[in-house]
Amino acid sequence: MIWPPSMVRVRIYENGRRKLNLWLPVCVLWPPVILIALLLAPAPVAVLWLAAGKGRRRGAVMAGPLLFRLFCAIRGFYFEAGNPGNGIRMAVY
Amino acid sequence: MTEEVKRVLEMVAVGKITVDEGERLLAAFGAGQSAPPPPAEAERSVPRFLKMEAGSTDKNGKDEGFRMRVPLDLLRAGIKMRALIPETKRDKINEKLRKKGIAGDVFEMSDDQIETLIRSLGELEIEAGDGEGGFRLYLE
Repeated sequence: MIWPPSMVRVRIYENGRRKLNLWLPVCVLWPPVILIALLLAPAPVAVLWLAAGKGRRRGAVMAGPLLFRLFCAIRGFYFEAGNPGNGIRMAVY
Repeated sequence: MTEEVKRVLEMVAVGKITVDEGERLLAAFGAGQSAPPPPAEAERSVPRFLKMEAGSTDKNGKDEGFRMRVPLDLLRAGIKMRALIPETKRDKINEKLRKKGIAGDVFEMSDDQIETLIRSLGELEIEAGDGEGGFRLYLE
């Protein structure tokens, strides 16, 4: 089962102290995104009709699922820069 | 199931030997068996992350650097994005790749081939640096 990221954590350290500890609940965005996706669901039909004969049909159909998969794959990403006292850390859960 | 195990089970079933005797016999057969075969390629641990680490020591002697962990699913998803490239452009891309020494049709790669490619990268480890700093790239 593929799940989109549900939480992003950003931490900023300055002079050995944690200046910022931000939890961004990305999961809050899921319901509106699902709603938008449902509203846009008929759009690929129109795109298919417009893209007919131009060799872009597959791309038109696959764009949504592939971009969603790419978005889901960000889960697990971690980044850390700086030194132990000063720096930034970011993690996607 | 080996022939010996079958025979022991039959002997237990017809009552020639007791369950305990059968168990002892099976244990004796087991002791003579060779070690289990090494895990197949598919069973080996598949790397999940591409990790990059770089560090250096500044003038004040403080360690600085960055560390990044990129899920390999992102690489897989990125490779699959090739489906969005129009078929009319694929020949041109393949042609340019061929000139760079990459033969074959990159758009015809199956999921299995992509998986094999990622598995083979599992052994990859790049390490460079000197006394003041270094860089390491590996899969885990």
